[in-house]
Amino acid sequence: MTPKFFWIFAFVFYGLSNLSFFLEIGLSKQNFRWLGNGLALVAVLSHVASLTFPTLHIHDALGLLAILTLISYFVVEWKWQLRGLGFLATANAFLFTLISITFPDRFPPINRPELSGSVLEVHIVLMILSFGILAFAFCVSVAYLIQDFILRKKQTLQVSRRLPPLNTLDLLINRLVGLGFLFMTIGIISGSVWAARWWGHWWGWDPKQILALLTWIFYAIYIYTRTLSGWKGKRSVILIVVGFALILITFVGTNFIPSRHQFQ
Amino acid sequence: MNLLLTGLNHKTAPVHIREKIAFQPSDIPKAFQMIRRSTQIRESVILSTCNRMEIYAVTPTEEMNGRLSETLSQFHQIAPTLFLPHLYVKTGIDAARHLFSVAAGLDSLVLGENQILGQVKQFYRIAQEERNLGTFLHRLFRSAIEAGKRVRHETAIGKNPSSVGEAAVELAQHIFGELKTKTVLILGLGKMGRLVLDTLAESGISNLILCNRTFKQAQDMAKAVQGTACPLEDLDKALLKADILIASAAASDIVLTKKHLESVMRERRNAPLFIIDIAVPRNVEESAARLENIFLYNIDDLEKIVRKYHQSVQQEMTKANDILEEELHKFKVWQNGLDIVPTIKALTGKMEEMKKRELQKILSKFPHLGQNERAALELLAHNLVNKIFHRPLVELKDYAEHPLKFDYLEVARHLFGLDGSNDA
Repeated sequence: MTPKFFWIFAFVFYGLSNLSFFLEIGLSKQNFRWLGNGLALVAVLSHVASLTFPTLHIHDALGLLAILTLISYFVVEWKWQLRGLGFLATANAFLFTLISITFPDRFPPINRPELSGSVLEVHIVLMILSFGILAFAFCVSVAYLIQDFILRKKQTLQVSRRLPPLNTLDLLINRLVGLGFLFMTIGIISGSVWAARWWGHWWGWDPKQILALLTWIFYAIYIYTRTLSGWKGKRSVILIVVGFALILITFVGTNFIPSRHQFQ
Repeated sequence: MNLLLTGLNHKTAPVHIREKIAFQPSDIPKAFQMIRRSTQIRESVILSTCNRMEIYAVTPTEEMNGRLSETLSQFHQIAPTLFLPHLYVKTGIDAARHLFSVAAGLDSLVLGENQILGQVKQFYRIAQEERNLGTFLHRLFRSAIEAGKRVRHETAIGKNPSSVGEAAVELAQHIFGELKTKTVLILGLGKMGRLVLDTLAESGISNLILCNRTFKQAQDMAKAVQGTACPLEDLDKALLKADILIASAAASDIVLTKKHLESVMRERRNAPLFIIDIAVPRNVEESAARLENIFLYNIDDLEKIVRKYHQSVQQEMTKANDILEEELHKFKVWQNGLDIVPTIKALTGKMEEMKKRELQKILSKFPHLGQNERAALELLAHNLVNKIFHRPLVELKDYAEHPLKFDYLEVARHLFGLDGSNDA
């Protein structure tokens, strides 16, 4: 079985699990939640089988992002057991996978000495892991905004019942951002260590470096406003939504401008 | 032999009466002893929760009720005049129906709540352990618990809010999740506010702050609900601690303006505040709803939600009542069968049938037997069966007036397999 086959398999199963989670919300039936989790697990496993390590290729990088977003979801599902989040998480993974199809997935083997080595691997995995966690934090933020909107509308209880309570969502977002921020920090530092060795300098004002720094500063502002200025709720949550847009620009957008970080 | 229920609940008695008449589970053995001593009641169950105290008893005569209330007054050492007006008395099938409806949660403050079924089981078990139960109450409580389980399983009762208080509780859960650790501040002690407060307390909230213009009233009420009282001047301080504010003060003007709440929210560091404004005229300025992390619902908002689900609540109630009547019917059938005449009929029917079957078997094995031999065999079978069953039948007839009639009948039905369960 070829990687392409596994990839298509994963793509279809993301779609199916998303559909199952849609039915969970629509029909308010918990069985669809377990089914959705099972389908998503199959999707993640076959997606893993379809990928190579994402050193140079955005196809694989986006794939790993989808996988790590869903793994963040699985951890939360296991530890917190909150309803209604599977739909948003699988929708996100499905879209990442869909975008990855627009990039080539077959390429010649890499033969550059600087592109192997554990520091670079740590840098790549930590950056994508932090983006995956923050992408999931974005999903939780969408759930928060819907819950907040419905509670202020005062029309129905049906929607509120299918989503977790506001306080829980707020707390979860905060935890996820803390963890994602930590990984991003270590990821950027490990990138600098690698650059110092192979590029000759710690920091080179590469467009992707600048955008990653901006993203880092943005999440630092979130943490600052929450802990020191007493921001809470909707205002903080909107920051996370904007932060996710920044991640997308950093991750995919820079591919279209000249950069030493450019994927091939 | 009658079933008697006497008791009071949240509908008939205020909390300061209920708490005086409540039993701790550990008091119950002593209470049973006292009831046995001062009345002729040998079979009873005491059901005591924060919202009700009920005694279900099997009594030899109908006039036991007075004695029972005397015992209650002695046990709790309060004057009968204090609680008698709040007491209800039901007998026979009405008492049974009441118990079924309690177990199903239909008599609870929060319709269909789950706790009560566990409490019914708990107090049934205590009576069982104290050997204070006969066959009749055993069967009654088992049927009631079964009915309660069925209502929860087969209907959506308790899923949709049926009152303003329940709607407020559900909304609070959508904002805060678990409510146990949350603090409620109640401003003004209007009847409506107290009702909502009761419902919130039912859902597990235990931190209550009561704030009232007349401080004395707040203190009295705080004592009754185990909360803390706070004078009106300290409202702002209390607002910093609260997660939920029930505003029900009788004031002609706005008590909390948007600007005021804005500064409160700054001091709270934007911790979410759920405001239930059930005062008319309203206590809280409407535009405060636009503030972040404030969720403001007034009485109309809550009533609109209750109305929206009204029809489905009604439908589920009808379904639940049908289930109760079905289980009640089953119980009645059992009870009727468990009487002298039906038991004797069943027993004689059974032995006639047995005799015929055995005769048939033996006669078909020996087809060459003549008339006389056949008649002799039939006579033998007839006499044997009659002799064996003569004494049990006479004894059974004697039990008609015995205090343990149901127990003897139950044993007899069991020994002879009359309920079809252990047919040989």
